[in-house]
Amino acid sequence: MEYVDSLTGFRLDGRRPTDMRQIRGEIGVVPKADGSALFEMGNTKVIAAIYGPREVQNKSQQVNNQALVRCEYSMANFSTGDRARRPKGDRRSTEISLVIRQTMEACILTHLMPRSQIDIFVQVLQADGGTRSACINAATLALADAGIPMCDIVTSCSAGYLSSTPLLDLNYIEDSAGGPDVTVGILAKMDKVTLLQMDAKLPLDIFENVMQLAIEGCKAIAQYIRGVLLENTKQLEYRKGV
Amino acid sequence: METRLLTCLQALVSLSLSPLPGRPLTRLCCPAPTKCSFSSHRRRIHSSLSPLDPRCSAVCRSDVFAAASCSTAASKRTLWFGFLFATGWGGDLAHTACSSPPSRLRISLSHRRTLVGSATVIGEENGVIPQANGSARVRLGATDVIVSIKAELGKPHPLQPDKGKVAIFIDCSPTAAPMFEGRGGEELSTELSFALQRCLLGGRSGAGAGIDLSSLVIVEGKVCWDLYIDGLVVSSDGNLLDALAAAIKVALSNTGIPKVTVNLGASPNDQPDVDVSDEEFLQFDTSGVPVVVTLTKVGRHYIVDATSEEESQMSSAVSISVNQHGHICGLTKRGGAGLDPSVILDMISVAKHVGEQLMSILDSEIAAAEASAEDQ
Amino acid sequence: MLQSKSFVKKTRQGRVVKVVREHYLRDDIYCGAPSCKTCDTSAARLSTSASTVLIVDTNVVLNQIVLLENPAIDDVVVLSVVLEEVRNKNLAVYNRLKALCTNSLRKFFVFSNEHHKDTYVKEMVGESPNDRNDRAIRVAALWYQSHLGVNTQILLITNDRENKRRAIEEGISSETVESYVRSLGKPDLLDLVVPSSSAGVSMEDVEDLRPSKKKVIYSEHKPMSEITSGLHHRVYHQGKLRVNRYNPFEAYVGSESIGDEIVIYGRSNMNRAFDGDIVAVELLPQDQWRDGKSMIIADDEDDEEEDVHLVPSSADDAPRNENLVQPTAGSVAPVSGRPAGRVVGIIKRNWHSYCGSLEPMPMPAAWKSFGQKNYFIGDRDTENEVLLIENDINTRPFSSQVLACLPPLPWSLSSEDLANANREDLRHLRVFSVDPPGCKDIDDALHCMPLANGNFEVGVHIADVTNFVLPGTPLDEEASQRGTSVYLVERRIDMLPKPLTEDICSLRSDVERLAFSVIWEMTPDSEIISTRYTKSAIKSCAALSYVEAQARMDDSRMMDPLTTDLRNLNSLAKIMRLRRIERGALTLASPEVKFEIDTETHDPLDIGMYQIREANQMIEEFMLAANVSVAEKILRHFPLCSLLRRHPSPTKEMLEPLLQTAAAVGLDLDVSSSKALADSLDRAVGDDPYFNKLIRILATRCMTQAVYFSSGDLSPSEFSHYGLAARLYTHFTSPIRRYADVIVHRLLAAALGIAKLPPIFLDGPQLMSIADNLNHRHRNAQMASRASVELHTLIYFKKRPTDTEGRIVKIKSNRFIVFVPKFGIEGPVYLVPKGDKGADWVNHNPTGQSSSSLSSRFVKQLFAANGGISC
Repeated sequence: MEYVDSLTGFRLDGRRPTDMRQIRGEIGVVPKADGSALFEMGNTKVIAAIYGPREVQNKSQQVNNQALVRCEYSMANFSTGDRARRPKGDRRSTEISLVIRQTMEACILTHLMPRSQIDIFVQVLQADGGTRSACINAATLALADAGIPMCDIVTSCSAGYLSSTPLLDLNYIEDSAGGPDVTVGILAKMDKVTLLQMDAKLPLDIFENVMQLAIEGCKAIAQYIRGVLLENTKQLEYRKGV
Repeated sequence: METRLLTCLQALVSLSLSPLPGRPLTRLCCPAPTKCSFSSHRRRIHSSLSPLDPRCSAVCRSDVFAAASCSTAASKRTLWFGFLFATGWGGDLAHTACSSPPSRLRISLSHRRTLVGSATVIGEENGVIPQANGSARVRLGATDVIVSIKAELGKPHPLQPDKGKVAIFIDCSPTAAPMFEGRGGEELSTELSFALQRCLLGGRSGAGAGIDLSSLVIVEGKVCWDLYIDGLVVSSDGNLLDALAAAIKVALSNTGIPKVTVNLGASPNDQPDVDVSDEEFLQFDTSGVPVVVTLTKVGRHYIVDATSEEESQMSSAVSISVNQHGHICGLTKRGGAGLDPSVILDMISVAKHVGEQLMSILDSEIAAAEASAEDQ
Repeated sequence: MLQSKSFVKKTRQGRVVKVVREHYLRDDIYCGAPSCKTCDTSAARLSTSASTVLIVDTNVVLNQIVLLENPAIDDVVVLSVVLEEVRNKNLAVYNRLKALCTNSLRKFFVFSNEHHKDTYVKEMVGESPNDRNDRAIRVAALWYQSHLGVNTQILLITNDRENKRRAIEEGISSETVESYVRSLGKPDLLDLVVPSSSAGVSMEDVEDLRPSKKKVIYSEHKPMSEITSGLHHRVYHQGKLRVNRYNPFEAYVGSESIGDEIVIYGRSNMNRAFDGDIVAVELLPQDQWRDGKSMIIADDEDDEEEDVHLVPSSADDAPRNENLVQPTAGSVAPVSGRPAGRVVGIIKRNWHSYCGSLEPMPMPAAWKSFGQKNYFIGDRDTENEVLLIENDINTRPFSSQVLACLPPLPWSLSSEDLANANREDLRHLRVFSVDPPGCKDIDDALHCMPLANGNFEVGVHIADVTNFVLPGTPLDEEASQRGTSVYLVERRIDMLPKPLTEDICSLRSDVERLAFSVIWEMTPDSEIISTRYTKSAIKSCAALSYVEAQARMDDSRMMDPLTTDLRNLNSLAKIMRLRRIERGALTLASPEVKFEIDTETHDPLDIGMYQIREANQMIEEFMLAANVSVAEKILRHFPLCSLLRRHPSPTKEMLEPLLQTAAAVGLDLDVSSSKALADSLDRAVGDDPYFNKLIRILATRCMTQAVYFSSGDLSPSEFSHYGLAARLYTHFTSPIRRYADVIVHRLLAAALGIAKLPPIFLDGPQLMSIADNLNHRHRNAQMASRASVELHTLIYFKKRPTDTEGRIVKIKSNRFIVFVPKFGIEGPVYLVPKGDKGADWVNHNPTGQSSSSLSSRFVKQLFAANGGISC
């Protein structure tokens, strides 16, 4: 299958190789949570909700010099094309939960909140490739909404390599093509990579290009997320009548 | 904006200040979409009402219940509507002291019963979940649920060859409350699933089901549609059952089931061959799908649309499903405290009225959503 | 940048699944006209002064591709909707169109109308996909018209009357192909226009003509849904249709559901199914089942000849169970056991180019194809063309882009090549090549040097084609498409352009050439002590023919160093060969025929079996060894993406015909392993000198062909090569004429760290599709060669009735099949007029052994009768 049309240079859905899907972020979608956000990358749609910082529920897990960060990733029954009732906490979910937790923990200033707990819950409403990245982006927005101190915002984006072309932000069809899939998370302002995952194999020089592309994608998302946060802050300001 | 909202609200309220003898039950709903959004944003409403603390005071001066605005955010094709309804016989304010979250316009009424509801239904272009055959998202204050409907080809139950199958699964996402983390939501999910099955699907034989199960049959005894109704609680602030039932109704109304042509096999024992059309869709008749009204008894009162705080204080709750004819289709009582049978009957009659109101609002909203979808 | 709009697309496969895809519409798609002021013109392809821009519809492309390829037609906008439709309908035309669109000399521009925000059209309720696409084309044309303004005329070329009418209604100028070409005023172009039946004639008119002629010739194919349910109920049976190679109106469908082959007799029962189609078959009532032995053409009015054929070379060519009903001694009962059936539908077509003949009333049979030339049946050029078309062989000259990739001529070894640290200078070695006489594309050479310790250094040097064919270039693409060179009797169709094959890469004598070398140190017992791989520069000292090499070795007076090398190599090769046979390598026979061709008329002058000499075997042995060594090396480095060649072990079922025939002549073959089979074949010696060969030919027919595959797709246990009894095998030694070798060269270079691995190797599915294409091309090339040999055999015998010796290999009720060893041909001999039901004479002649003098007469008669060849 030709994933990039050799004549027009477009991908199957009309994007250029370096185009991202349409992204949308919205803050405050779960009213009861301390912070929440919805993040969409094309047809991929996830909700993140933050509870905390609050008292540690299970005292044995309490850490005395920093906050305990926990994460749970779950997929709705209807999130994929074929309806599948999946058990909670399967291996894939556990792995993604762990990835998200570690990535977010890296930017939360946990030492400011000792003996407390922060819960990050991400719920996938629709999956169309790049759920990992979308979850991290949603979690970033939600953490900001919850007012949890962070050293920087983390954004994530994936890139792949198909039809001899590096492609940004793979959707499900491209993802299932079997090519390599590089997921990168960066600390936007510090310009540091905090998350890097890849399956399949790639020669080093191509990997470099693909990773660079993914980083560019992360930066673009960071820009967008900053915009969303700024807009949100303005709204709050306005409501307070400042 | 806020001031406009308030005036709008007050205008509405004053409009409804008609004398209400006995037990009036009037829906007051602003029918024309206005630009000002009312229920869309919790914080906005919050600030709009905060000067008049306690929140309920906005309409406290009357023993009436009021309706709030309805707006179409034209840019997004998102339809919002809010409504309020209540019954009351005049009398003291029962809930002024209750510090409920501001999202619900809470107008308390009458000496024994207080009913308030506000619902937000969003219907997006292809439903909320485009991959599903039908989907809807319903917000009731801070309660937020998504329902998706998927149709798969299946085989009818041998005992009921002329009926399709419907299954309801509810999931409580941990985003709604940390207690749902891990397996924490399972108990509630199961309880909700069963309560909804009881309220919507009728008896075991399928008799009295809100959905016409025989319309799901393609070839009797051979092929039928299996409807999978998946609910997800994204945010929880009480009254999940009512919200889910309303969402199921809306989702069913925008469910399109592909049209199929069947080639009957030569020998009667074989599975017929089914061709699925790409373009044509069958719509459901959802007028018979009941809505669920839950009356929660808190202290001396029983209220509709209880928030989670209220639910935490309840002594018992009765969920009653009501169809378009005002018939009671199912009933669930929860909570430990016993109820006087006469109270239950009283509750049922209240639920019936509220249900009818809710139903007509949902219906008109579904119609409006369909109309605007066709316009596009 | 992104015009936001996503839409829902639903496709359903089997289960009802709703698929949602995004479809982005954008505003940054440019029109391709350099004169445009609003668009980015850097990628513009249309000419600057274009006054008329053509937009073609799908059918114009499909039918008039030859016209479009003419340089007189230019400034064409190809819409992506058209491109997509062409791709779905005809891949060959699509590839040609693609070549046009990428050719920098032609002004063809691809416009992605489906992704442009102004030209995207959504399907309307009740609109068929075709109508939607037509509308999309019109919308795009309209957009171009308003976009480019009044100075440029947009002309929609369509032969669809309805589309044209609507276009004109909407204000788009539109013309039919013919009227447009006429307006150009170039009469020679008109010849290229394929007159389409519907040109200017709307469908109604055509319909009107029909009823008078309407006659049901074939029963209609059943709709797919009915077929699937029929299959489900076991009313119909599914299988691959194989046409009897001796009788075009008899076919077999192997059906798993009834566990036997269903025979299909006659044209109407075959119901337009072609060889290789997957069909659904309905069984006929049992009383219509024919006697298993009376496979004759009775019910067909056409008195089609059974063909004289070369012997099929593998099981893939021959109908499977044909021999099952071979009469064995003592079988008397004329059972009518074989189920017969008729085709009710075609599940999957074996798409393929076919040639047919048209017979206009007043003229003799003539070929007409492409509207270019007239072709006559039986004419050598025509038949040649036919066999090339039917085997899908690309004979078009190399495009200018491909030729642009060649190094400037004359090419010579440069100092840079020598300075390359990865390239070893082996010019001092005494390297020589041995090839068939007249070989111009020499891709292998050898050297052999005694070492001080008594061992030998043996080197195999292969033309370094990958030094010139770089991955991703048009040259590489073209070669990968062609896959292999095709050798016909009088002609060679090259995979690479001539300058490469015959000059730059060819390891000719006395010139310095680049090579890729495998160098072993071998003991005199042919044990490989060490293996070394390197790119090198060599200078061949002699390009010998097999005959010359053999003569040198045989002539004991010659003691020069070259001859000594040859003898050393030969003795090593003999040991290697012995060892290989020891392991169980099969010596299979497929009769190869050689022609002497008249240089003027290209008619065959003489025919004979190809003679295999020791020298041939010697070269073969070292090539095999080199291939095995390379296969080991690349697999070690790239366990997941190496291109290897495997030969699956034949299954018991496949060997069944061989065993039955062997049993019929009282021979017991052991087929438990390749070794056992090889031994029992060796033992199968009859009185007849040809007997052993016949058995071997039969054995060859039972084998499947060896295939290329990517090592990531199979488990290591499946890698082995049955025929060669090798654990691993690949093709390394003929990069000039096989693309597989080019790939292997790249793999080896990457394994040595000389070059980096082209990214295509990491793309599993793509590598697999390349391997599939290579297998397909390889097979086609073989079929074409065989067809060419067949053709020349027939041309040869057409003029020369010959008396010769033959062997009866098979007996049917009314005919027997005769094999002529001398010419490697096989054909049926009828004992009774066709159509008559054969007498039961089979029973009187039970064993099917040779009876030479009888057959020769019939063979003669046969060749005399077979003047024309029907394809």
